[in-house]
Amino acid sequence: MMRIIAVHLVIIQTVLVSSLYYSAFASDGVKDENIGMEETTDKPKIVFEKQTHDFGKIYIGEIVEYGFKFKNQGTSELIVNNVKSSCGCTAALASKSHLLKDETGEIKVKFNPGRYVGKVSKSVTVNSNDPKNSSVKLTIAGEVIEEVSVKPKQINFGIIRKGDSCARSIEVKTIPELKIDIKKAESPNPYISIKKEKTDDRSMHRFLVTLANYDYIGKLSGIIFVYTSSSKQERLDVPFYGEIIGDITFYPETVSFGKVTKDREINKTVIVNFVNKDVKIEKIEIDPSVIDYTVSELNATSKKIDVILGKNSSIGKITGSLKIYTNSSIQPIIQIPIRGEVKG
Amino acid sequence: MKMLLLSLSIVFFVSVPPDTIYASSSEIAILFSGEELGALQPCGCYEGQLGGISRRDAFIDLLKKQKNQVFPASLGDLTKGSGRQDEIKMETLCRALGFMGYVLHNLGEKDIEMSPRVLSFLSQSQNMEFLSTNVSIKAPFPVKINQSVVKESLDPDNGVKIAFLGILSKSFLEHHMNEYVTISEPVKALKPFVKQLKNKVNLIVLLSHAPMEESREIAKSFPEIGLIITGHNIEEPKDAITYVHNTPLVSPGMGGRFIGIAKYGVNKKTIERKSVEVVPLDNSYPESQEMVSLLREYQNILKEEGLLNKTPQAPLPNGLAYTGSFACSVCHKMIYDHWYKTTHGTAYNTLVDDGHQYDPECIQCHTTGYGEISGFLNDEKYQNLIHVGCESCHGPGNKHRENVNDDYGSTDEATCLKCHDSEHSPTFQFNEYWKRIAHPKVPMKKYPQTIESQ
Repeated sequence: MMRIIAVHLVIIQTVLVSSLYYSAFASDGVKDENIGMEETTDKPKIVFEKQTHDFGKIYIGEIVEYGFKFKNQGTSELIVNNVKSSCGCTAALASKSHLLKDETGEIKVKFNPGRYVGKVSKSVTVNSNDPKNSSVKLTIAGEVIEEVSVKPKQINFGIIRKGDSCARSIEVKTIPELKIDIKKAESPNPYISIKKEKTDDRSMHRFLVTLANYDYIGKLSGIIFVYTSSSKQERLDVPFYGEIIGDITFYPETVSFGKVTKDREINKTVIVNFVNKDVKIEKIEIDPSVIDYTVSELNATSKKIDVILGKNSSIGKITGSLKIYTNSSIQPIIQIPIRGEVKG
Repeated sequence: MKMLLLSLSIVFFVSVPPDTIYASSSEIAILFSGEELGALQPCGCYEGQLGGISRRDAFIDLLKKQKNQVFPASLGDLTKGSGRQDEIKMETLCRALGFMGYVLHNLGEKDIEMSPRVLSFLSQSQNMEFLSTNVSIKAPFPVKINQSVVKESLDPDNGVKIAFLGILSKSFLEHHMNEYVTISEPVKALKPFVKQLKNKVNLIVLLSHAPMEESREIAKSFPEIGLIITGHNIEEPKDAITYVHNTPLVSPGMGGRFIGIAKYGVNKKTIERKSVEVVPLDNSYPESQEMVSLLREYQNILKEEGLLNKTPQAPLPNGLAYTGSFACSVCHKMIYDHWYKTTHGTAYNTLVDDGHQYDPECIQCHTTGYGEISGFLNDEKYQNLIHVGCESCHGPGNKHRENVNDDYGSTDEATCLKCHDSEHSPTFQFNEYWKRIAHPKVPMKKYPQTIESQ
C-alpha cells in the first residue's frame, strides 16, 4: 500500500516539477524577448519638465489646474498607458497617449479641494512604456484656505437636564483684505437665540448661541445659518445638537427587528439608565403577545431589557410597543415602539 | 519511507501557491481598520470604489478559514457627525465589528462627540469593547471604557499575550469639550500602563488616534510598544508605513477603504513580527451575506424612522421656492423631454433600484432642493421634485414662472461640483460631463423672442 502511495506521489511530483520546468522555460522565452528589446537601441523615454507643482494658496470652492509638460526624448514611440490619481479630489488627463520621438505632451492635473482645509499634497502616477522609467510620480501641493471660516464647525450642547439652558460660542473669521461682511446668523429653531458679541478684531465675529426653554425630553438638532458677502461661501451651515434628559434615559428609541425569517428567535436589547437615583420601574408591558422580555441589572444605575421575538411568530408585520411605567413625575411612562416583519 | 516524506514535502511546497500561504497555525494576525467616518459601504456612485464592511468581513473570514488567529482592532472615528443618522451608523458599525470578532474600538474625537446615551448603550450591549487609555466619560450614566485590553492567543503550546492601549490626541479637540469628557496627556496616561504591561505581555499594540508626527514622538518615548496603529486623514496608507527604531507606525487609511494586517510568528511563547501591510478592499473580495443583511436593516431603520423628513430645511432668499420640473415643461417641453432621458432625469430611480431612497445622505444629489424649504422632502408629497430636476442646476423657479426674463437660469461648474465632488464623482470633467446633459438648443414656443440659454 505504502509503495502504491509513494508511486502515485512520485508521479504527481514529476508532473508538478515538469510544469515548473515548463513555466521556467516559458518565462525564459519572455526573457529572451526582453533581451531582444534590450539589444535594440529603439526605446521611448519620458522626460518631464518638472515633477512637482505648488499651487500656493487655494481658496475653498476653487478648482485649480496645472499642466505637467513632458517630452519623448527616446527613439521609439512613447505610449502613456494610464494616469492614476492618489485620491478622488485629483483628476488627471494626458493630452495624448501616443507620442513619437521628440513629441511633447501634457498631463493636466485638476485639484478640487471640496471641503478640505489645510496643507495638502497629492500625487498622480503616470505609467508608460518607457523601460527605464515606467512609472513617474507627479506631485501637487498647496494650502486650502477658507474665505470665511467658522469654529467650531458644529455645536454640541451635550447633555442638558430638562429646564436648564446652555450656551456655546461660535467664531466666524474672514480674511481681512477680502473685506467680507457677515450679514447675519440665524436659526429657525424657536429654542435657539443668537446674539452677536463685540470683538476687537474686525475680521472676527463672535456669536453666542443659547438653547433655552426646551420643553421636550430627547434629542435636539438643527442648523445655524451664517450668511456672508463672500461669493464662494454665501452661506455657512453650522449644525447643532444636544440632548435634553429627564430622570431616565434609554436607548434605542425604537426596537426594530427588521425583516426576520419565521422560526428564528431574535433578541434586541434596550438599556435604561437612571439619572435620578430615586426613580424606579414599577411595571413593564409589552405588545404584541408574541414578544417577550426579560430584565437584568447591569450596574447600580442601568438595567438591560431584552426584547425577544419568539420562534412561533406568525408571518406578517409586527407593530407594538414596550411600555415602561415609573414613579418619575416627569417620565411616568416610557413608550418604545416595536417594529419588524416576519417572513416565511 | 524517506522517499514518501520527501515526496510529500515536495508536493506540499509545489502545489500551494506562495501568496495563499497567509500564515501557519503558529501565526497570529492583528488586523486594523479606522476612520470609517460613516462609510458603511461603497455608495455606488462610480465603479472601482474601495471598502465597505461587507468586503471587510469577507477578508477577515478568509483569514479565519486559513486557521489564523486574528485580533481585529478599530482605531476610532466610526462616524463623521453626531446626528441621528450617525447614531444609527455607529450602532450598525459596532454590530458589524462585533460580528467580525473585533476585540476593541479605540475612541476617536468624532466618537466622543456622539451622544453619551448611545455610547452608554453600545459600551454595555455589544461584544466589542471600547478602549481609551486617556479618555474618560463621566456622564450621568455609565459609559464603559477600558484603559487597556489584554488578549491571549488560543494555542495552548504557543500561548502569547497581547496588550492593546489606545490614545486620542488633544490636538484634534478644536473646540469646547463637554463637561463630562476628560482627556489626559497621552504620554502621561500611557506611562503606567506600559510600565506595568511590558514584562507581562509578549506584545504591546498602541492604537494612536493622533497625527503621524505625534505618534512618532510616542514611539520614541516608548520603545516597548511593538506596533503603533495610527494616522489621521491619510488617504494612501500603503505609502505611509514608517518605522521608529524597530516599531512600525501604520495607518488603516480613511473611509474604511483599506484593512491593515500585521502578522506575527509565534514560537515557544515568543512572538516575532513577520510583516505589516495595508490591503485595499476592492471588489475581488466577495460580499458577506451577514453584512448585506445588516446594511439592509440599516436602510430599513432610516425608512422606519422617517429620517428624510427630519433633516432641517434652510430658508431660501428673496421668496424663492421650488416648483418642480414638470412646471418648466409647460414652456420648455423639448428640453424637458430631453432631460427626462438623461441620467439627471432618472437619478432618483438609481436610488430606488438600490433601496437607498430613504437615505438622506444619498437623496440630496438624486432629488431637487432637498435640505431647503419647498425642496424635496419625501416621495409621498414631492413626486414633482424627484430626480436632478431643472431647478437643481438653474435654481428655484417660482419667480421665473411669475416673471419670465433672461436673468434666470445661468449655471456653472460650481453648481455641478456640489454633487459631482471628489467623493462621489472623482472622474468628473466639466466639459465632458456637460455634453451628456446639454439641452437641445430650441427657440421657446411661448416667448419666441428668447432663445434657451444653457
